[in-house]
Amino acid sequence: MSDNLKRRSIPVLNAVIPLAFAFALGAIFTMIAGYNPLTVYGLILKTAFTSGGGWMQTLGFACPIILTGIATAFAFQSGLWNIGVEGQLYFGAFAAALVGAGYFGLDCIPVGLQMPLSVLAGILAGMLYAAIPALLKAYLNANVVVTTIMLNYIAIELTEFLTKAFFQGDQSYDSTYAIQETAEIPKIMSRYRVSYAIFLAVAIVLVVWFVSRRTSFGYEISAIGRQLEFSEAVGMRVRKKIVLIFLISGAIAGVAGATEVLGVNKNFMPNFSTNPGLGWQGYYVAVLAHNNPLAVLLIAIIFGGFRYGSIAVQSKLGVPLDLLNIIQGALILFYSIKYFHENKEKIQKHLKKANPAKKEEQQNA
Amino acid sequence: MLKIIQSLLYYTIKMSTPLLLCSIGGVFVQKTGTLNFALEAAINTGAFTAILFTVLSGNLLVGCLAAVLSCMLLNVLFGHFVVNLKADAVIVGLSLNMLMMAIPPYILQVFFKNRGLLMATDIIDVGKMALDIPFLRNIPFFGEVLNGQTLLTYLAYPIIIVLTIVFYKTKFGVYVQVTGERRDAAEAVGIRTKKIVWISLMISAVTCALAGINLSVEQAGAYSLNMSAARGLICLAAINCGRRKPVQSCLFAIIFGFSRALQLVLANFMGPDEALVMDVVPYLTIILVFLITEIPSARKNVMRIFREE
Repeated sequence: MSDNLKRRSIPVLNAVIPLAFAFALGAIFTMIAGYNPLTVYGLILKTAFTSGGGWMQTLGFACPIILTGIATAFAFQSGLWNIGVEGQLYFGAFAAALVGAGYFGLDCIPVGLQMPLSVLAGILAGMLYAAIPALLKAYLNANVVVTTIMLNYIAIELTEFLTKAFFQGDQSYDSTYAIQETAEIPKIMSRYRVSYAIFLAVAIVLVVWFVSRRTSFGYEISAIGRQLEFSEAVGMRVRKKIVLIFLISGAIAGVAGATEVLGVNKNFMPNFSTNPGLGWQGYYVAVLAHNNPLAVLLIAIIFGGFRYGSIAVQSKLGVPLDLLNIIQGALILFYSIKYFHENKEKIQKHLKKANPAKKEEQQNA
Repeated sequence: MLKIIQSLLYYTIKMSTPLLLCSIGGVFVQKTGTLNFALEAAINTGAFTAILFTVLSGNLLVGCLAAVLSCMLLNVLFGHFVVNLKADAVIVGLSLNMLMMAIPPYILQVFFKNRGLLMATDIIDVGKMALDIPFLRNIPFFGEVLNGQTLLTYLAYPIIIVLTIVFYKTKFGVYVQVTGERRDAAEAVGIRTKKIVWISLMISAVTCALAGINLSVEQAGAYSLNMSAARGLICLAAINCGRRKPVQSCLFAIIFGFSRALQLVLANFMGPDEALVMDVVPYLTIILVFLITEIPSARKNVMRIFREE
């Protein structure tokens, strides 16, 4: 193998090996349950990726994951561990559902504006909720991971309480009233899950990609992520940037919640995003994609396909959907280590030169 | 009124137990400078395997042993990834949490056809778990509070005392502190920091397993989905607020236990729907306490926001 080929294959190997490990672990769990892993995996891939209808469903499941993934990745780029996308998504969905269902007099405004206004409500709710950890981080340096995770739980409990206590609709299960038809995001084809929100999601990905790669704000984001002290010292207004980054991240999370309600569910149900939750899936995607927006798009679509395929497998073969969560969790776990270092050989050569006595040790390691 | 105060105190002690057990072990790992989000996974693992193996074997002791062993296994996994392979502790911890949220429902669905609940009440008599100690019962007022707790609640406090002594008074404890403060300096004087982290992880595994056993075996006699309900993360917050010192961390754990007791007691006075809003109380308390403890250190920061402690 030539040197060049070797170096190029390293990132590929680093991506493929965790995938193999994760699916091997998943295979063990499938076999424990008494199923043939090849049948299960084959069926997942077949339902999700081989037919036009399958792709439509896949994109439908991928749409919210793309958005939560990009929301998470955007904050992660700057080293802000916004695990709170889940909570921001809940409030976004809740606000969009309330406005869309006409709790606040939606009829007063022109029909064409009702849907955008509902989405806007979701965006604002997501932003407001993201503002809490943002301000706490910027002005009190509170650990973002802890505050955002706690805020997730608060969001889930609070929206459930509000739904049950004040906004219970006419359904027998806990939910708000269904949104008005004029506030719906139309589906591309009525049979399939995917709505026109997918275009919005892709547009947001492209905008985020452009902003983080081509603008000075994007440069500042990555600078803050790499070296906070430096960024502060050279005069970036780090506090304001932290708040801004969080607000944008929360806004995108709000879009995810709003589009899920307005395009798919048509009302807000407590726990509409569980097992493990759309926000958490976004977190998976962001970690796997190394916060690269375009990679987020790709991986989110794959994850959406896995989800659709697994739901089909659950109903056809009876393998629990939790299998997918096990595979995804394992994927992140195995992905957290680098299996091959790109400069490993160079380092070893250097070390050998410097300390020939340790030669054997190096080889063993 | 007296009754309310009594039940509030009773539930504070009861609800604090898993938090205390988890925090005191977690302090060691946290002090070595390893951010262990897998505390959550460890509690969940302990709670799940304790019930699972009790049901399978029909023996409570086997279940408890399995819980301790499985928590150790989990922490070995965590340690292997973080200490040996130098992976990002946050990512490893969160992914282990995810895994342990997915594996129990999968196993329960496949083998017991109920992904949310596994009952062991025919083997474990939850009523008998509350111990009746005559000596405590006869104390006026506090008898109602202190008596009738479970075994691990009574054991938690000696465990805390012993581990606090270990933390401050033994060579190992000092090594733990040194490793956390200055890892390179510790290594320079010949402390094997990896080994220190490993031992800390094992201590944490045992206490987390006990916390899990307390939750599933002693308090419920069953395992229900996501039983740990963020307790591991709450403990992490307690340890953070307590500046990674054992006694202080435990005090914060009790504060958080109190907030949960407050939620339970106040919810009694409300309708079922309104009571839901009280579910927010524990989480809100954590954020508030977190802020209150952060404010002084934030003010001290000369270099504004980026100094850690």
